[in-house]
Amino acid sequence: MGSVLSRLIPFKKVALRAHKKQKLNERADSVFQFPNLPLEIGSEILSWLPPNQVMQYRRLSRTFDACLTSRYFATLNLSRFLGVVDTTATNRLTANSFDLLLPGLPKTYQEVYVSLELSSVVKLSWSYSKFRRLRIPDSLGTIDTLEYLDLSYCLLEGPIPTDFGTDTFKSLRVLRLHCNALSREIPESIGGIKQLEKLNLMFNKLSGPIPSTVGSLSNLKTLCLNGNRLTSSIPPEIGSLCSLEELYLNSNQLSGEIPIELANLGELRKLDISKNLITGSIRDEISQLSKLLSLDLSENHLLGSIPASLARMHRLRDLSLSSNNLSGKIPVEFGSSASLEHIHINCNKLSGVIPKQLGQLMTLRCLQVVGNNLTGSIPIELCALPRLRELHIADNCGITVSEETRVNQEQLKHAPLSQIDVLLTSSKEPPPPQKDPFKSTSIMVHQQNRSSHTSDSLAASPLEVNVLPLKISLRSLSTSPNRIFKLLHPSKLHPPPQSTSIQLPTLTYDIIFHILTYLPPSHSIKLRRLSQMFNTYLQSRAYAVENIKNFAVEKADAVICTAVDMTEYDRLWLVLPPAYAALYAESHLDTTSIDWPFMRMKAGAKVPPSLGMLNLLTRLNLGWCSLVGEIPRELGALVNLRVLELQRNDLSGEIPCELGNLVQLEVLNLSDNLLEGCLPRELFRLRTLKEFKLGHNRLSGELGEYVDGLQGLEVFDVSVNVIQGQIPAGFGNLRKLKELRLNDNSFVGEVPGELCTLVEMEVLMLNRNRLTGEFPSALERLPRLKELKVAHNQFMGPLPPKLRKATKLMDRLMMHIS
Amino acid sequence: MVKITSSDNQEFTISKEIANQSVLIKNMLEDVGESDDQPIPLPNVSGAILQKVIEYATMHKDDPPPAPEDETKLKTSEDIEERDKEFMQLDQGTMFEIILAANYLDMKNLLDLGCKTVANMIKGKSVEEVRKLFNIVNDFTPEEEEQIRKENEWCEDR
Repeated sequence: MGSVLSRLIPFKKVALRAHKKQKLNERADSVFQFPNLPLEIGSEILSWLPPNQVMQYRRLSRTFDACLTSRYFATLNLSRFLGVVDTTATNRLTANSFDLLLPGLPKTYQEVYVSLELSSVVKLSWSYSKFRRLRIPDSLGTIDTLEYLDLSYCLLEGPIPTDFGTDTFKSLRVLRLHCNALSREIPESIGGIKQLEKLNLMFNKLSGPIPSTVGSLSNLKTLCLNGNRLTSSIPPEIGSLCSLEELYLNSNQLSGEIPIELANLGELRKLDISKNLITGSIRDEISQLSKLLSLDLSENHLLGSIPASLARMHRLRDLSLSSNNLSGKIPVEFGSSASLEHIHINCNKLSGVIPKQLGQLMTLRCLQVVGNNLTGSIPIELCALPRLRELHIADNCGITVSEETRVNQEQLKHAPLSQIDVLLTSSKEPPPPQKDPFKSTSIMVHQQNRSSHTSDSLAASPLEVNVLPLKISLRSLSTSPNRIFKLLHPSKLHPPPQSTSIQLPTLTYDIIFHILTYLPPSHSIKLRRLSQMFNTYLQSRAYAVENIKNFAVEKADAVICTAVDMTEYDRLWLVLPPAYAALYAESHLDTTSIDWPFMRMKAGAKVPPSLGMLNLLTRLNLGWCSLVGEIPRELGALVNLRVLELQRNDLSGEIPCELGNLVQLEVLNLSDNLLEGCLPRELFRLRTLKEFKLGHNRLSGELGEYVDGLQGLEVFDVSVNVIQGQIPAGFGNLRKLKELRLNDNSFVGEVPGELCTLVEMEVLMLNRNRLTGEFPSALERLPRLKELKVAHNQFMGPLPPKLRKATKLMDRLMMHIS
Repeated sequence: MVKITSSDNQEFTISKEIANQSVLIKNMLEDVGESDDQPIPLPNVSGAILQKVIEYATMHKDDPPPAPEDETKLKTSEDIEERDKEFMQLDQGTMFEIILAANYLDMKNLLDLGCKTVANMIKGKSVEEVRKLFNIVNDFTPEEEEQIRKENEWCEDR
């Protein structure tokens, strides 16, 4: 090293000046000070400090900054701290501690690191990484072999670099940057990543227009830009993406009309432009999208009528046009569609009747026409449709349920013919008592119609709906359409009484409490510690009512609301006292989706029990939010819930058995928490459940034979817990099971042979248990099996023949047998 | 024996095994051959510093030859022998002069020792403390410094 240095360093100047110095002790201002050393010597010294510490010294002076940002320093520093470099690995599925530093290091340093460590990597799957600096490590673009980059859920902030894709990412096919907090505009340079097939930028804070250069990504199959703050109109260039299969532009602020060029996307399966500011009408040309399965244009400002040509799209299953200004009639042609399953046309200005031709729509599962000007009666034909589960007709100009229908419905309710689960009607009958709360049959929610001759129905609200074991008091929407709290700008508030000259305790509590209502809740809540009197008052509903009047935020659209962005008030919700939280929850009653993963919560934030009041909720995602406390049993009241994700928090206690009431649940993810106790057997009644993820907790007990009940299950994950007993043979009845993760528990006994019949099985993890007996050889014949881990058990006998030759199958089969 | 002279013309006579610890002198000796009795001039190193360097080389003359580098083992700045620590109990100026001399004479062990010692002085100190310690003048504009501070929030103030 030294010899290289001595050739590099311009020593003469230093040496000559040193020559003049004779005595060692006269060096107060000598050249022999750190700042005057040659750059390379400075690098030698600083290179002994670890990279996460040394970079702060860039701020010392220009010289130090130049030194620390040089390639020379990077090479030297890495030689001390990187250790052995394995350049053969082509996949990096987790970021190591050095990778996590990457975004904070100067670009030159990053590039040296990348060239040393990642130069031949193909797949970087770094989602959920906790990078030390929350920026995109853009040097990754210099990896020419990189095909797959996943930096989702990393809390990344700041802009996507403006040169992102310019001469970089030459082989990249998949780019996943979703669920971060990336801001500013999507750079035009992104159009330079020519090989890109999947681009996912959803749920960031990106603003500005969608760059027209996106149109040059000719290999693109999936484009997800939803959940951002994108503005302007949709660039017509998107219409040239001839391979595009999925296009998600929903939940932005896009305006203008739907470009007619989108009709050229012949491969498109899914198109979602909902929740924007799109104007104009729905053009006939859109029906050229012959492969489209799902079309969502809801929550825009679309005008005109629903084109009858939509019925010609012979694969279209889901059609949502709710919350627009569409007028005219429901096209009778819909009845001739061969594929429509869900028709959502709520909250428009549609008139006329529900066409009886819809009774021919044998595929129909759900029809929602709430909040229109429809009249007439429910066609009797509809009730005979074999698959119809939901019919929402409330809030119209008086759709009547004819006596005939009613009788029919009564009959059907008891006969197996009808499986209508939800019928929102204007009927005035009391709700039928729920015999079996776990098997929802018919939920009647009374709401009044807007018709002028239903004044007697006003008496019907507010009313109690006995949906579950829990009683929920619902106020009818129409009695208080704008009951959502008004935002009062602080300047508009009455100035709080000045208390400078008056001692606070001398005031009467009435006045003190009045003052408190003018403090923002985040402040006043802290005052609970003042005294018992304060504590009691601040937790009271009276306080909440007054305070919320002064501070809470008005919601823009009270009809259908998904909460993607989290307001400051929402954040408070998770820490407020129960009475206050419950009052706030009332402002969310019409929320259908809460999706707040990765939000920065206040310390000590919990899952508020008042969430249980939002019974329209279909999706609740509070993953990665550092939440503490127990899972409130009130969540069991959310009967419409399809997705419940609370993973990666610090939730403790037992899993409430009330979650077994969530009869529509498809995804249950409680993994990575501190949950303990047994799995409540009620959970095993959830027939619609597809994903059951409870891994990485402290769950104990046995699984028992109840697993049979999860008939729709695809993923079952209880890995890394302390579950005991045998692996239930009942798993063999779950025909759709693809992933079974039982590893790192205390399972005993033999592997049930029934597992060998699960032909969909892709991943089977049994490692690190106490399983005994012979390993069932039929398992190796499962046709779709990709990953099988059985190591660290007490299996006996010979290995099945194929597994013994597993080396040949390495690509398909990761075999671990100890 | 080998003769060397410093920049201020002080002459030192040292044994060959001590001299050979400097790759620079070793190469020169090989170039000029054994027979030459002329002292080797070292115009970049003062007599006082050369004295210290010889002291270090004498202390280490019986060290076993370095083992082939173990790539798996990470080198750390804490990894200093006790006698070397004592040797480096010097004022800053001398310390930096020795580092420069070690670099010039191509003595890797001494260079590493000097650099590790300074690195340990920096370790754990804030930017302001380091500026004071080494008399470093902040020549950034406030805007420039703020920019870097922002970029480095992840590694400062912890």
